[in-house]
Amino acid sequence: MEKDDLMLEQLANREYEFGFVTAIDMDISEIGLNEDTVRFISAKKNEPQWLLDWRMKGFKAFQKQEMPQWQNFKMPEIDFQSISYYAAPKQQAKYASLDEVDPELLRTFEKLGIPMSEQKHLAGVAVDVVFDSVSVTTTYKKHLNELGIIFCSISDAVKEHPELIQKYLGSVVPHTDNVFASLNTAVFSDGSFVYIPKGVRCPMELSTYFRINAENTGQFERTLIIADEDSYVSYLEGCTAPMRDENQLHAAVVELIAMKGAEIKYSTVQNWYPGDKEGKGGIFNFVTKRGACRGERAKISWTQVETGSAITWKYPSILLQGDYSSGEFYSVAVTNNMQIADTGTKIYHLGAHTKSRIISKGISAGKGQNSYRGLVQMGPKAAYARNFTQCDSLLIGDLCGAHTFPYIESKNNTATIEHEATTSKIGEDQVFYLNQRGIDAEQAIALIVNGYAKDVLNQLPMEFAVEAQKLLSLTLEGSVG
Amino acid sequence: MVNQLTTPFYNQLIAEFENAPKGENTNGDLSKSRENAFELFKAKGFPTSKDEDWKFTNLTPFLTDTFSLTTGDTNQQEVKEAITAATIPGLDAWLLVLLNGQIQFDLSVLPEADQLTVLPLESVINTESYKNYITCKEAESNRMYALNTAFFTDGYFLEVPKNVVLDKPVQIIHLYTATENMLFQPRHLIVVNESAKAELIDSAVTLGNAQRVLMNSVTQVTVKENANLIQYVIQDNAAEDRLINYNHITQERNSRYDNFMFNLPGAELIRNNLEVVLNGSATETHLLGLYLVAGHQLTDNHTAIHHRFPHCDSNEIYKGVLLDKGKAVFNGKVFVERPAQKTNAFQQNNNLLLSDKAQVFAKPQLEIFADDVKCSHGCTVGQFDPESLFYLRSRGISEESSRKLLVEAFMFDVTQKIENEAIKDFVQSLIYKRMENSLATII
Repeated sequence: MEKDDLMLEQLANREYEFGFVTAIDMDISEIGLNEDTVRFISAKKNEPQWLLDWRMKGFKAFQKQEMPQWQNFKMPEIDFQSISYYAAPKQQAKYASLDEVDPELLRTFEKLGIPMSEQKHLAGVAVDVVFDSVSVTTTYKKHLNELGIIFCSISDAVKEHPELIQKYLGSVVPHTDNVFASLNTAVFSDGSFVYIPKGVRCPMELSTYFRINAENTGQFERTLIIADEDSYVSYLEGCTAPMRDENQLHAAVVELIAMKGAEIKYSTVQNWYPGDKEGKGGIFNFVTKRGACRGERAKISWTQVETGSAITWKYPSILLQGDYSSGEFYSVAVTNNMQIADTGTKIYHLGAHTKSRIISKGISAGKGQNSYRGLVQMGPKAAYARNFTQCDSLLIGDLCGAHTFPYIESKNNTATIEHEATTSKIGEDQVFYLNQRGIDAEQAIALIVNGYAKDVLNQLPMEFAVEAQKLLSLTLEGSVG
Repeated sequence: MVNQLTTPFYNQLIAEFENAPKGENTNGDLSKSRENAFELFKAKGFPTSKDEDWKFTNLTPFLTDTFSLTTGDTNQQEVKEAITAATIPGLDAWLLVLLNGQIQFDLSVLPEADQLTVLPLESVINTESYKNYITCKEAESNRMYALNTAFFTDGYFLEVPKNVVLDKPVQIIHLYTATENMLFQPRHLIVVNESAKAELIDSAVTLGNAQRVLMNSVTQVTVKENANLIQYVIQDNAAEDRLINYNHITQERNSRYDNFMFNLPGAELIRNNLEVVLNGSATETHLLGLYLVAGHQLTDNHTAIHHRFPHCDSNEIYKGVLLDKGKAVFNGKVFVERPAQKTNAFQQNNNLLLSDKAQVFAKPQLEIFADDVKCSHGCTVGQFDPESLFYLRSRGISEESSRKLLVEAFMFDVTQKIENEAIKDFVQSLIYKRMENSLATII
């Protein structure tokens, strides 16, 4: 027992490994939020009138909405007036090659282990580096261009492909969706835009790195991915943030649109600063992610590994509109110390013969609270729709909590829904078995946890899977239950 | 919320309470609790679908009528017939008959007083010991419970003395007369003392000329150390009935409590709240339910189990069959608090949708704060497995019989747990009778 306590303590004492601040000149808007802030951002980015109008609609919706009350944690007071809504690196120049990029920036990425300088070795990863909101460099653009794939920042897309943006932006997550989505609509700084043309299979994993850098700057990303008929794309999003004492708000919006026969695979590894062990500081990760399978046989899959943030509060959702479309949600959420995760998914089966699969693995350690909240809804027209949900919770230590709130709604008698959930701790006999084979307790835990999360980790692309496994072992090292 | 507050029925209740003579009539001891409860109800009104617990059960359409609070006359002949009809055939049991919440000793057949104490609630209401039972922390914000607390007058008090094992089950038949729209708010209290054992069967019948009846009843149960209580609730009501029940059970160390809930087609609204508080270690709890929903019926079962001590087992299985435009709601909560290590909690909810207009809303919910526990829940919604049907058909069994067999198999998890054969046969026959026509018409 003493050993356990010691280990738990070690675990609790782990410092955030990626906590550093990059000294780069920032262009920051004045603190506070009002119509002028929205205009300022829009003007800064030379946006057309229709986009400003849309931002204004979002801002009006934001003002009308109240903070939700239904979540399973105490909502921290967020003073929207004390946040700066725009920060961009001063150097706006575009780089053709990596050599020209600010070496300071490159060093930051090196510390994070982004395969930026190793891209030659890790061929197949095109990184659209988002460094505090503005896209600095986009690699592999040429190769993608040849295939007709558009992979650029939203601001560039507004200039170069306004017809696509106007048609699809906000079509999955409307500006009135929820208070944070409305806020994002009003003040979104930048983000990524992907368009895969008909019949094209994107030859490489598209990847972007979000990074929150300037103090007091909320990060309001906007991602829009459109996969036209019979196309395929796999998109990675990874996050680490520097150590901060003040809470930072991250309210991004991600919209995915899959047309007939298209497939989008969206993977996230999130390791933002979780706050110290008293729960001071840390990122609030309040993100709205939603995908729509618009056509027949379309497919969207969300994979997420959530190990960071003080509060993670998001429900990547899927609208299965087309007949025979399918959706998948794979999630591993780890909470340690005072971390809170209230996450899950919502899947709306609207079309006939739609399929969905949800695998959620929650791991709670320290005083972490982990909630799975999910909705599976079978509409009246979802004939022969099928859902399978499995959500498991693993508890490490007796001060943490695991909660499940699945909503299951069926309005069609030919639809089939299956849901199962379990909660348990790491089996002593499992650890004993591994000890007996000469594997020490720490490694045994890492093995068991990785095995437990395998269903999800297997869904991640190679580069991410390695990082995610490391993250899991790191966060939970030494926590013998 | 605002329009909810201004319904005539709400205003009627408020006036009724405020104009009632204070003091002697409303029982001195309880008046404080009643007033607090009334204040809560007055401030918040009836629950609306904005309340998480009532999200899928909208009470508003059931509250548009006005309801009388004073009971009318009863036809004695009708009472006798109703009792005969409600008696479970082949069951050797004691009989307790209540008319409009009041015990009818002349119609009841009860064991000796040293075996079972049966008293009208009024006779214990003012005692010091009763005050311990009236407060119910888990229901503090429950407005329907508060409404009952504010108004209740009648009900039974049942106590099984220490070490007594009742030789026969007790069948409790609740009769209500409704010559006009009626609101009934009975309140019952059951205490099973140390090492005692009892088996109770509850069913209710509405008499009178088919008027709307709104039932808002509360039953509080205490199962003491080493005691054992089995409760069967058969809800086979008339179409005009709207039932809202709150059932609160406290279990002490080493006790066992079994609850069987049978919801049958009929009552247009059934809402059951079953709340079990495990107030000691090494307890065992079984909550089993079968709901058959038909017509435009709305059947809503909310259960909650609070694990507060180590080494407790809870097991919950609710199975539902939905026909016509039936709508079923299931919400099963399991709370495992920090001291409740070595908890074993299992929950299962299965739904069989046999009509394309039927709807199911299920929400199994686990909230766990202890690490050395085994908790799981499962939930399914589906229809007949075509392969199973085909298998039976290929063996020369008719379509209708095949479906009946499959429904029987579906319900088996619950029915096999009913140890009393007479009750099992009775419930099954009720279900099959109601399903007969439905099974033939499904294509």
